[in-house]
Amino acid sequence: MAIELQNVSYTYMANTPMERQALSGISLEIQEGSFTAIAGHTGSGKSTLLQHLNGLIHPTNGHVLVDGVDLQPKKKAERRRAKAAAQQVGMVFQYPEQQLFEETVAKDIAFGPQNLGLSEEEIEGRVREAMELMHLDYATFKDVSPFALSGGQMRRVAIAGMLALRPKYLVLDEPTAGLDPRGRRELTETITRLHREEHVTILFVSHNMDDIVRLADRVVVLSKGRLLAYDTPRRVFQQDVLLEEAGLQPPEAFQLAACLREAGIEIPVDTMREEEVVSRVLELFRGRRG
Amino acid sequence: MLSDITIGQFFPGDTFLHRLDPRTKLITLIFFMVAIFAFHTFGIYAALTLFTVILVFSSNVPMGMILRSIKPILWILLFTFVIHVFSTPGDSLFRLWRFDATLEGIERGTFISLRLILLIVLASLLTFTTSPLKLTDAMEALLSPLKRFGVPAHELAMMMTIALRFVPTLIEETDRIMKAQESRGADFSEGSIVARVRAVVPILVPLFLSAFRRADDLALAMEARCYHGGEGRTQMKALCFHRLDVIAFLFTAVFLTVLTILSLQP
Amino acid sequence: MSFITVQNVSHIYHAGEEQEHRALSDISLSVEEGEFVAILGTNGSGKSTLARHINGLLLPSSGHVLVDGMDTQETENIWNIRREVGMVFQNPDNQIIAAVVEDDVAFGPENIGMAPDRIRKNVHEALETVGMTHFRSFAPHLLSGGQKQRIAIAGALAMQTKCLVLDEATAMLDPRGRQEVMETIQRLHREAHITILLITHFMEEAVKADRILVLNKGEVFASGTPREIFSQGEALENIGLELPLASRVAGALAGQGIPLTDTILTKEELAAALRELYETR
Repeated sequence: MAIELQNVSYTYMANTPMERQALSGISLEIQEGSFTAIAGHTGSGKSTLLQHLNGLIHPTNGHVLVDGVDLQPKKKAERRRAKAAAQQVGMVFQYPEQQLFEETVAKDIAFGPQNLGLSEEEIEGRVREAMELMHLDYATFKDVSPFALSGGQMRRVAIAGMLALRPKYLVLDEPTAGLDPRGRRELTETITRLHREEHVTILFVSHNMDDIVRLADRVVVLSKGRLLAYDTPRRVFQQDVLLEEAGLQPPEAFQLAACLREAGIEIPVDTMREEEVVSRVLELFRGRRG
Repeated sequence: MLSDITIGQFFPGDTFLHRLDPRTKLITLIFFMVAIFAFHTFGIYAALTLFTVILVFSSNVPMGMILRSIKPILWILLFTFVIHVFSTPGDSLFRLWRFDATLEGIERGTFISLRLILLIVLASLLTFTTSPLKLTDAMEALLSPLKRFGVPAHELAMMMTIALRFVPTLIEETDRIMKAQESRGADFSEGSIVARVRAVVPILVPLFLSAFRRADDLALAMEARCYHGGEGRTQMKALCFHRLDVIAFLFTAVFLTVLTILSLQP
Repeated sequence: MSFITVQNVSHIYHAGEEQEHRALSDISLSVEEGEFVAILGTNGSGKSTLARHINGLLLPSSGHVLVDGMDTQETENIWNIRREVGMVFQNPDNQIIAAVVEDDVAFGPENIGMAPDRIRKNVHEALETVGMTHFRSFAPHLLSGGQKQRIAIAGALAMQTKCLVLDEATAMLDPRGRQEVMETIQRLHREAHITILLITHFMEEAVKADRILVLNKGEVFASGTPREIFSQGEALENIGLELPLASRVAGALAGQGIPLTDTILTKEELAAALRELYETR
């Protein structure tokens, strides 16, 4: 099971003077169970790509398939199936706390399940479950107004609102943007746990290459609407030409490792995580001592 | 679609329409609007239409934008046209149920539609070729004689500036919120009227909250930049009339006078 | 006399109401003319509240704020203070007022009644300084986040500001935008001797400052050079902050017995220190 993009192109305002090609000929397959990052400079087509994944927009050319179902069916009879497939993909936009609108946290999270037409008990169960997954204590927060919460908590409520729909794939557009260091760390941990323990397939956009190396098993690199690379972060970040073309900086830890190598501390070229820098420097020093 | 709303957009350029003083544009626009309402003959409408087309081409504004400015009123146009075709008494062309389509109706419908199109296109040309700040400067200048009667000319102008500046931002925002709620299974296209009105709440609440937040931020930023009303304020680009403006006024006067004389001919 | 003096300032929001909240309690500090100070602290530590006191957008519930010798509580000073202290806020979209770049840069000077000729000259110079001359007739919504923030900086420069307060001005930017803004303010500090107060969540930005001020729960938690501040790794982590990457790695290595004694801030310092150890072994 997977999300497949088959030769997807998208043109904004086709046939007007402001016509702009946002995506051209993108093909890739995101496997169920994977943890995939999307990287690219602002304007590279990341947001346009995301919106294709749950059928908010449809490709000008090409197809998007979720678990084998085309999100843009040709026949009317297939629409229901396409909609159900699209709902397998939960979409968390940038600054999702800005979409909150209900009087209480529980009611806001219930919005999605209600739209599915579930029973009251089922809805309550889902709200409870989603809040637990996002580390929001049900009893403490259910009757609180979402607008009385801190920024980080509001974001958790918004993501819980998406999880209550029980999506198989969760797409997050820069989930930690604007949070303070603690907020960033905690939210990243929660997302990692969703992947590891709840087996939710995760796709996230990030400008932080260190996060990408640390979390993702694959990374999609976009530049000017084209797919530059779709590979493991480790392989991608070793290609300076590619990174330059995409307008991306390699991870900080990778830059640190490069700086150490220049000073004669010969740690391997593929060192790009903080812990790796530490362990490999230690190895080197201990090796020398021993 | 929301992205079809083009009012408030500005295309920087250096055509004579861009160089005209905004007050000139505003005043002549008002005269032309009056003329469009006052005249009823085909010849004069042809002249006004030709004039508008010339302006459009000399403005360097992309043709697509002009057409898109009409798009939001397309249904209104169609509706008024059909109403006039069937409700004007005259020689029946054909009969639909109990209504007669008449030749006079078609003529009248065309008139009214053309009138609306000309109004929209001329007004759009004004906003397309004038930076909103200049436009509001012009409003302020034209309203300032009313200050002595307590009309807050500067404040009104500032409100206009900000409203115009935030139109594109809020359109983008609405689109984003709609997509976010759609992703949570909201459906804006199906169901009864009541269901559809209810479906708007999840959009309106976040939209208003965000607008308030932006207003708060903006007020703070303006205060931090020493804004304290119109008093003692100067302008980098103070408005001033040039030869071009005199020519524009003269042209408008001559053109409209000729049209008036023509319309008085039997 | 320091350029900015904050004397025993407390600020209480909604005083006397149910949601009464003490955002600053009895803070005292000073900033010298031409200094570059970074302010760190988690959300809710009072950073923004402090920033807004510097140019009189907020007034202290008790205590005084003096800017260039002027008390913010005296109303006749307020426009001079705001002219000397320019602010750049977090959301680039919510601080641009005009629909054309150069008109926006002119907004401040127009408000203080500068002569049109001088405004034109200042706007031109300000745009030049932030490297945005090419975009002077652009509509702001066509610019990137980093460019918008540079326009906001130019807006303050055109008023001939002496001090820039950046209230999480890089938080909503991508790495390239952050770099643009950081390079601009570092240059302003170095070449035009503008006093900089940089509020940020990014430790790598704070390292560039002359001095770091750490706020926690409305109080000054620590103040000192980046080296002094980042030598207190554990204390910072306890209040929800983190260390720059090079410091974290150095700390981890030291914990494993590598004798790194000095506080390390940058990757170059770590490389130099490790090389020395490596060679002497």
